[in-house]
Amino acid sequence: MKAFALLLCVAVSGWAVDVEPLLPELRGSAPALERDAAGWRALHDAVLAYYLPRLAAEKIGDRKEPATEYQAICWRAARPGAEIERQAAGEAIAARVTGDLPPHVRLWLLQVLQHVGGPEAVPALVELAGSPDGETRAWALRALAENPAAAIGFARLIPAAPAEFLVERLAAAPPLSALVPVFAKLAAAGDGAVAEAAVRALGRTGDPGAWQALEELPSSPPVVLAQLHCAEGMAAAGNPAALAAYRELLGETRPETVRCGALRGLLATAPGEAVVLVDMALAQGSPRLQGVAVDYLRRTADEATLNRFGAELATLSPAGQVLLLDVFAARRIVGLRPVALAALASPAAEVRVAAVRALAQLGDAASVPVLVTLAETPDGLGKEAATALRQLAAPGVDAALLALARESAGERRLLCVDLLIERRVESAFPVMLEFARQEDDRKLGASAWKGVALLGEGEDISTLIEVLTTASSDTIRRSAAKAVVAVARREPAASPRTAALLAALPNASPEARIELIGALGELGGAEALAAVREALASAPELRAAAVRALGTWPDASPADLLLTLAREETDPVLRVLALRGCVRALGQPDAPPPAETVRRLGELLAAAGRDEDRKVVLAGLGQVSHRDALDALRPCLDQPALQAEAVAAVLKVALAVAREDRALADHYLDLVLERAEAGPLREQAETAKRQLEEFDGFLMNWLVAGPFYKTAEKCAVIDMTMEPEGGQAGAVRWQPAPLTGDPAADWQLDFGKIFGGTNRAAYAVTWIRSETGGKVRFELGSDDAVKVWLDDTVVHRNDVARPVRRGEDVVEVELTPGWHRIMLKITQGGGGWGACLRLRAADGGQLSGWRTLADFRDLRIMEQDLGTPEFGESARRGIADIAARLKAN
Amino acid sequence: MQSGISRRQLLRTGGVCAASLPWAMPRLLAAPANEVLGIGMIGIGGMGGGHLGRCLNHGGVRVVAVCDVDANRRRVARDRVHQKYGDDLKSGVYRGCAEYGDFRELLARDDIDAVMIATPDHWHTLISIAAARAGKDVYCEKPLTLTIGEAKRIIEVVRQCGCVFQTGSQQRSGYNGMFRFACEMVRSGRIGELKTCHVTVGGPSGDCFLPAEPTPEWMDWDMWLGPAPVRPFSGKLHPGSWRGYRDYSGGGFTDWGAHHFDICQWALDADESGPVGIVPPGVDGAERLAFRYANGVEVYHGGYGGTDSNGITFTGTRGKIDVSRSDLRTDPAEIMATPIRPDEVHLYQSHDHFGNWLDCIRTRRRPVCDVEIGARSVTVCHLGNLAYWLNRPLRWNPETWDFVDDPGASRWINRPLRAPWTLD
Repeated sequence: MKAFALLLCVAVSGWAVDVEPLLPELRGSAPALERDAAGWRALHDAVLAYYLPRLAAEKIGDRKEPATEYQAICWRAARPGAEIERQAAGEAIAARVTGDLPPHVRLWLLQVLQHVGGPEAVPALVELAGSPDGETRAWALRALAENPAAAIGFARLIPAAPAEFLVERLAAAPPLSALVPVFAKLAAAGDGAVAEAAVRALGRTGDPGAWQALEELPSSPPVVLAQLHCAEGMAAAGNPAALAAYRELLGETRPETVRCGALRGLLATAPGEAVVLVDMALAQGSPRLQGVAVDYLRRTADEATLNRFGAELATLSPAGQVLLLDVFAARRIVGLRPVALAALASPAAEVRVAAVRALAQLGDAASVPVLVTLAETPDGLGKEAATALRQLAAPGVDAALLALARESAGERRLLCVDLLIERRVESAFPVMLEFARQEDDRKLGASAWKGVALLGEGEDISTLIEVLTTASSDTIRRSAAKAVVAVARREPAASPRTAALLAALPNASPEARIELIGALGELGGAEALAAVREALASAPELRAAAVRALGTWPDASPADLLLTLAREETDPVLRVLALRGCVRALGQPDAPPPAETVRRLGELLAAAGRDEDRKVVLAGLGQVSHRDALDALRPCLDQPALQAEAVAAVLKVALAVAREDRALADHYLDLVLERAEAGPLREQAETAKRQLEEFDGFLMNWLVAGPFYKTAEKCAVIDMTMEPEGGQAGAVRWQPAPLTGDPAADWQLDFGKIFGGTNRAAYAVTWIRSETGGKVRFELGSDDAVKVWLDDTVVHRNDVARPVRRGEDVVEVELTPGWHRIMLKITQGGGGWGACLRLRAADGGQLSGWRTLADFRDLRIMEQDLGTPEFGESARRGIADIAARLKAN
Repeated sequence: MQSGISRRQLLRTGGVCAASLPWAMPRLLAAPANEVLGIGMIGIGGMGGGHLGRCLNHGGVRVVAVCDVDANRRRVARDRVHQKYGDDLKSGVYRGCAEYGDFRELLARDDIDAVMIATPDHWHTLISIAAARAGKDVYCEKPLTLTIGEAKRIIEVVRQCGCVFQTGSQQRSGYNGMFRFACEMVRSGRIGELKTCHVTVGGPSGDCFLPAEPTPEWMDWDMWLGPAPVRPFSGKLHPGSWRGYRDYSGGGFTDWGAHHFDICQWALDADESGPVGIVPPGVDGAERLAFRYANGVEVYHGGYGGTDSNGITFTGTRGKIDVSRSDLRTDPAEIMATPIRPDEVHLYQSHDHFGNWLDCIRTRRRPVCDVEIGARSVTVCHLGNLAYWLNRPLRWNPETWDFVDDPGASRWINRPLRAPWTLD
């Protein structure tokens, strides 16, 4: 060790200074200088000397960087066209690796030599392959086995090996023909483990001499396996002896896996014998051997061979026929179609099924009638035939099915229509429409209308409207209207969807106008709304159709019109329809802001003439997360006929409003508890009360954005600047975080459910309003790392991996009166991903005098207040942008 | 029939004896449809535990033995089996689940028809080969191999033995057929001519610098290492994760790459082929590691544009497809509006990866993720890792399984195994 220490001192003091500037060149990041072999050798000696002290570091972790650096330099030296460098690196290591080195350094150098060493390293590797240390021997043999000059080394190592080293040397030995006599001798005379290793080594050589040697050994599983290996090698080298070897191994006394290998080898090396071999395997072989034969047919056999088996198909066993039909299908040799058709007459059911499956790939237009006939049968074969008809891809199949649909009647026609629909045959549209208009067969009519709706395109809308306007029956008119809606919905722009309907409206008969108006109601749009509004002034039937149409409108635009109708309509039925339609419209995502929605629902409640209608309105109020909804619901709590619905709605709203105004929510829950006797309603109220207690102070309404990924910054993910905190904040797509769906878990944000994935981050933002200002506690939990902004200031950072636990981090902040923005950043390494934030008073108790948002539609109201002193500059940030985005959504 | 040799001549050579039927031992015959298959589980950690559950809930198979080098794990697994088969165990219909620490003992049992392998990656090929040689059918977890050489060898041996082999890249069967549909759309030309694929998966593995720890008494550490170089025990390798270390795994690149690059190969119709060139980032201004295929398609490591943490984006001249386990989207959206038509490309349909393997054991067909598919897919990942490690462009010949004019890279194709293990 003294010598090594001295070497290290020399290395550090003498060479380090010279080597460091050259490292970029060796790493490929700077141009290489011209050097001769001696120059490269000197450089690599110096490089190794430079790294040796660090490779010898006591702590294993300290060795990683130098080891990786040095290894990369050597790997680069072994690139194409740089043999002089590779040799220099190999020589430098070989000169040191047998010397006085710490064991782990020697092992590392051997590991490098495994990928870099050439002939220059062989003597050193041979020497170390005889080391008394097992690990050194193993690494030396590893490095030698991958050395291009390995033959030289093993030719020295194996004949002279001590008995205890023989197995490892034989296992590592390359397949050298020159060593066959040595392997043969050891195989015949060695002990168990050595003999087996020698047998394997013989097999790997692929040498005819080795085959001979193996033949002379008593048969055993390792010997037979080695024979197969040897036959493979001979076949790969093009040695004709492989044929005889494979035939020998196909004998019945051989293990089945060996016979499979022999059969595969024979099929590959003697394709001329393939027919006989496959024939035999199919006729007499085990399923495994048959599998090998069939695999050959499926992958390799030429068309002539397959045709040959096609001709003899009927003479094979049913199992063989099934396998072959499967092959014919996989190879898609259409010339074998008659064979598959003939097999349909087989007495064996499994063969008939296989024939139908083959026809799915091989069939053509002429196969269609045959398959349709089979598909009409209710058994398994019928189902297979229907599947085949869905899959048939040959030219003319669609036309053949269409022709058959025209020519046939009854069940057959129905089958053809269904197949045409499943195959999406657009050219079948006229025929579908023709069948659809025939009213004598209701089943066919229903299928045909389905086809019309599915296959029609924009240009077909006018045809369908013509059918609608000229139809003599309500059924046709109604079906045509449905089809128009289905086809028009596929049109990307709103106007073309309804243009043809609007054009047809003035001149249509009253019956047709009813259907046209109904279709307009399904499709929506401003022009359609104007037309329907106009229809309200028409005859009673049309007026009724118009009210119904408004009730199915796809957005909230007719809400006010429906509200007026619900208040003023004289026809009681239409009034009810209008009321229900209005509640539906006010529940659409584009409905007015919550307070406005509540006002309209309140008016509806007042206008409702019957309790059942009031119940509908109460259900609508229950969907609005706003304090005004509670006020609107309150009178109904004392009306026995409405109490159940009112309580259900109050509970729903109170839980949502509690996030904004806990006291108000408590008040309403108490009102419910005062009125609800024992029973489900009381239980629900008590559960809600408990939840409020438990979740008091938790912020549960967030806008979230993400996922954001790691950047190239060299810092913790929590400190990487991502869009929401950088200059691109305006481009961030914020979305309201969905509740977890489990009221008991709503106190936490579950990013795992929202975004999923690993190695990323997400942000959440919300606003709180403090009445009086003052000190407040943020009680946080996060999975994983968390950063918190209050307005523009980072008030907390914790780079940690952990599950979400309530109140694990506690941060005290100072709030001024008014609104404040809170933003969280949470990173995700793996596993769960979420966060929670609870507001508490500075002493940890309940915080009063604050509120947050119960519904992000409130942002639009906040937006109106942006100019007021309620909002500081930083709290205001992003609101306008987010509000605009939410509106757009 | 024109042939170099007649059946009679063949029989005369000793290759086949007509009077010696049946050819195979009865146990080795493929199971009839109604016969319960005997299954051996090798490796029963995370994935193996999941497979064990699948087997225990499937009426068509019976778990007869479990094997793990971790005595605690195999005991837990055995107890799980006994609990599930409790009634049959009491009645004597089931003779109990055997426990092994050495897979060779499990493979020696003739009442085991098939094995499921879920060990660390460095054992996959060796055990698969031994199982195939023993006449078992095999389900082996991905990534299928540790090296390119193992990938080539496992195909050879599995084919030789007539083994039905399923690679555990279950994206070919599961996830509501999303991945298959994406590949069918690509191959049917719905996004026009395919230009690029962006595949987001983890990065390469590296060397292991973990300090030595005492080997626990429940652990057969030498057997855990098996063909890998000797090193002392570390709890960070087992029961921790070995996946970051080159001696046992190709890292995140092979872990998720064996799924997503597999799908890429499927979409490129390259199941029996692979890329012809690999360029690491930083070379020729390349931002990402790129695989070049012979048809001109470029496949990049990274850059998937969907919403999941990993996935694939296929970009063609008329649109693009993002697919991951949680999502399938196309741009424009109409690309995926209709199912694959009869005249478009239909790929192998499997809705149950495990069930597909069992079906194929009975029919002797190739499973949906047959050995060559798994081996070729993991080879793509190995090529990517090598380009990262060697930091230079590589040219690859997928037909000869060798690098072009780069003997230094060719030395990475195989890694010598620790004696006495060989891939014979």
